[in-house]
Amino acid sequence: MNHQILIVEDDPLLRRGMCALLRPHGHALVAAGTVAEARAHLAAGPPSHAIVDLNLPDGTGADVVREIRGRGLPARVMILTGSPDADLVAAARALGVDAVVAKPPDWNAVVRWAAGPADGGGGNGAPT
Amino acid sequence: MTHMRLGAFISANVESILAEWEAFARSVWPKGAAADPEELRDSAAEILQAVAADMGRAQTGHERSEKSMGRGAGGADSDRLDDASEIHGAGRVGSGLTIREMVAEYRALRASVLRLWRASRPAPDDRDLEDVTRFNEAIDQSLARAVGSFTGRLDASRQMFLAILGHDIRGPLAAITLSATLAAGRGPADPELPELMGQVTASAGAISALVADLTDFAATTMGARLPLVPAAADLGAICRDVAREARAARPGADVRVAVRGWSTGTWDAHRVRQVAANLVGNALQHGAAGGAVTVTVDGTAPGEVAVRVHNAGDPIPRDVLPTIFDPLVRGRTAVHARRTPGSIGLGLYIAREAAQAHGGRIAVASTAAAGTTFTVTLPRHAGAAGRV
Repeated sequence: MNHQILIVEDDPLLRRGMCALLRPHGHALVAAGTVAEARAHLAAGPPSHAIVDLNLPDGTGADVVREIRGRGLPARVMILTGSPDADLVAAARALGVDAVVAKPPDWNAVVRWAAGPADGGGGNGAPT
Repeated sequence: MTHMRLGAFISANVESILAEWEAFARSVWPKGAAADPEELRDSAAEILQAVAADMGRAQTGHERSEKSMGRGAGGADSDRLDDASEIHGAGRVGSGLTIREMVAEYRALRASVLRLWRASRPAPDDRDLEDVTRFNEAIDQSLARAVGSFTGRLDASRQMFLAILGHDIRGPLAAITLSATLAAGRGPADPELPELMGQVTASAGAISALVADLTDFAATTMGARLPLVPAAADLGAICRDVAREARAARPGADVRVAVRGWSTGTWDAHRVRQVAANLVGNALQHGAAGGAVTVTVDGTAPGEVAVRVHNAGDPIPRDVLPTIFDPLVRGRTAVHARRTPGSIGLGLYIAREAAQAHGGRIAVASTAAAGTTFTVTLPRHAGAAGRV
């Protein structure tokens, strides 16, 4: 099943690699390196899934998630972070984030998550 | 002469006690301490005043026993002493002192008060013992508070350091596993395989550089100097190499090198390259966007060679300057703060340690008008033991 996936990651190597990872599965991908770029993509059209890095040059992944929810979008969100902590997981859950995953993730699980249902559901194959 | 109680004596003689304390503190002051006792007078004066106020107040036996165990006994004067002591302890971290130096400072303060008081007394009084006991209790309370706030501040810095370390290793690890996952899905003849493997190597290199910095940090914080392998070297050639690498790593970076006089000498080439690379990287990161970084190698003096790395842009905040070379202290090394990518914030610390291992020194000057200049001065010929 192909989805519209927003990737927000400031490390260009990871950003390109994630696109290379997900593209063969037939998804439509848009990639952003900053909160501002992510906002521009969100203004252009709603994604079904978003994979969001936490530390961004002009803000945090939480800003991106708030933008998604503020627009009333039901997109499923995974946060990928190099700085995992319990407070962060709680805050992310409160924003309706599917999964908060520490880097390095199991990339095959990320692929399965991205292929999972676009709304609601129990997070098929979602890494935790 | 009327008999003056110790608390009143302290209040009336703060200036002379501080002068005595400063002289004594200098004699026990650790070599190489970042701060000078003279800069610490204000805070010591506030402790003295708070101790005197605290001694002037009636206390129960229980309060006094609590106090000497570092638990303030309550009351406005005791709170004032606690507050002053906590500010003192946190301030000492900010001044770059170690905990040993702060304790030495308290020893000096206690000794100065008691010596001056004894010297001023015409005749003994039966309340002297009680006064001295109260004074020691107040100093102990202050020391316990100061140590608590000192270690608390340091613990917070260590937590931050570990968080940054974790963050900076997780990034390249994610790149490695991602490249490997992508490669695993490709056939052996896939044209993108070499690039994916190159990314694995580059990310592993970033982690290796972090581990090397950590190893240097661990070695030097245990009191050792960085080991050196001095040999004939050319600082001008090394700085040109560093500039070339910096330009290659950051397209558009403007890094210029000028050499004056003789730039040859005897140094550990790996370490001086590390110093130059750290300073140039720092200047590119914190200098004005798109601005030039100028490296000047000055070999016009016979006995030493100086390397100055200059960038224009916002000056380093004044409160950051005293501890800019210290690890685990800087507030600006937050995970979210803008840092040099792939750097854990040990670059300036390692630059200082490498300069000192050569028997040299490092200094920084930073103003809005002149920009920021780091100057490393090395003896022209460093000995193997790091001394000349």
